[in-house]
Amino acid sequence: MTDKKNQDERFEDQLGRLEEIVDRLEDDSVGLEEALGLFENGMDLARRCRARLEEVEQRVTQLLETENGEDEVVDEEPE
Amino acid sequence: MSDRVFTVAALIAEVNTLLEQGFSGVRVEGEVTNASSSGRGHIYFSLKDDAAALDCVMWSSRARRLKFELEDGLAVLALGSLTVYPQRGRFQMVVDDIQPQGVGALQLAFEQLKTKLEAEGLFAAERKRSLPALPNRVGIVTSATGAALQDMLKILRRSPYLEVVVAPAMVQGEGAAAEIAAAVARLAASERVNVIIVGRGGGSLEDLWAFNEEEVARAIAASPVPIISGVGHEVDFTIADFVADIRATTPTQAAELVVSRLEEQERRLVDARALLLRDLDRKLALSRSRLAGLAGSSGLARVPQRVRLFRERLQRALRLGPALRRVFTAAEARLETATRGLHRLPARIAAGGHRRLLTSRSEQLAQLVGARIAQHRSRITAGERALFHLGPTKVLERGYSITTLEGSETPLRDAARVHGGQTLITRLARGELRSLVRNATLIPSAGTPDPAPQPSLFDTVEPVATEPGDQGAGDD
Repeated sequence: MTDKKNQDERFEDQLGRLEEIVDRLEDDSVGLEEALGLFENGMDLARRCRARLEEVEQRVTQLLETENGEDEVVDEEPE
Repeated sequence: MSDRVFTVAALIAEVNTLLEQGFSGVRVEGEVTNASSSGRGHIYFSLKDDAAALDCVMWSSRARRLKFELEDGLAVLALGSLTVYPQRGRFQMVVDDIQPQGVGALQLAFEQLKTKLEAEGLFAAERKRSLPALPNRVGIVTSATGAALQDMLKILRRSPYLEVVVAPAMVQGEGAAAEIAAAVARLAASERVNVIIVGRGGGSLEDLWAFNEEEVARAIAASPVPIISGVGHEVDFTIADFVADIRATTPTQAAELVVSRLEEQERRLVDARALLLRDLDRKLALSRSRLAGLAGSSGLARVPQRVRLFRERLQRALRLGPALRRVFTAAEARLETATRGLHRLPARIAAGGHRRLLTSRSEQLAQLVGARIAQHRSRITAGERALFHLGPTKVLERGYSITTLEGSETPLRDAARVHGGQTLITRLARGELRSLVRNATLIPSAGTPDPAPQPSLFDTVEPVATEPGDQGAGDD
């Protein structure tokens, strides 16, 4: 569970940093070399966020308790 | 009065029989005092009014079904039978059912549990977790057959990248609270979800009662996964709502919260990426125009000319004294290399490739040359100052001039070194003359006859004995 929590924080961090980079690029005083570096950084972050956003597909399952106390996962029929 | 003699047991038995006949199903109202429960779950208390008190017991089989706590001071209506407990001979009421007076049993139970859990801190704002940044694995605890589940799934399907795990549970009736609590725990432990919605559709207080049970509240509080409660309608507040991390007004609204979050994140991402591309484009355009300005412009184009001017002044200074040469040779060499680099620059700009490299390099080079020129300029100024102080210029100011053979740096002192046809360069206080020698005559002069082999700057320069105007007109 802690792992999932950290994952979640990481996503928000990356998206936040991407938005910071965008803000920085808006600044006209940033030189071309720095801008290119920021751009690369930003695109990399955008790629990662996109990957996280799309990591799960639409799916509905049931988590049932069976008689011997174990859990059973059953796929539901799609509507 | 009867003559019958009783044993204690017999007496009590008979009294109990009478009580059974006359007082079973008796209803008594009074105030609860001295309430306590035994380890086995039996509740002992007294019912009292102003004038009298009655000992009561509620066996655990009945007590278990009580929705509310029997607190001291509570006004109640009790239903039960009267009996004398043989072993102690104690007269008591065995209570089968008990209701609070003035308020519903459920309402009272609700208030009591709410107070209790609030005191434990389970409703505290600090405990509440916010909706995850990416709630893409959603657990749902609700009835498998109710409309609420279908309503929620319909909303959740709007998001293409979202997975749902349903843990079905009865949402009303006997045993519902236990099922709900178990389902919450099961989902939380499964590690398949990062948010859980617990809910059901609208109903009466009785219908929703399971969500006011302590069992459900504790399961929600204990969940390591954030929980959204969506029970009934907007006006319905259950204990589950108070304990949950987020309260939604209805199950549909709970699903809506999840989907909105995902849609918001997607939008942020798309916007940021678009801005990134747009800003870079803008920067490149800006740099392109700056570069064009640099290449075409007066600034950079004037540099070679400035360099030439400085070089000329340098060379003039050099003619005046080889001692100075030592100071300036290194400077000259460095200027040469800088200039060479500079001459290549326009070609590279015209080539137009590697814009990034170009901008920074051209900027660097311009800076470098500018710095070098500044360096040389200050050295030259220093040199000129030195010259001035060492004398020749002062002398020149007095009308004297310094003449050298063209191509030589040595000032002439001896006409014997000159013949007709040679070109002389005469340095005046202001300007230079180039003249062609017609002839040279030796005129004896006072002082040392032989010229010093290498005149130093510290010699006073003897004026060359020529009449101003006698020389051929110079070219300049």
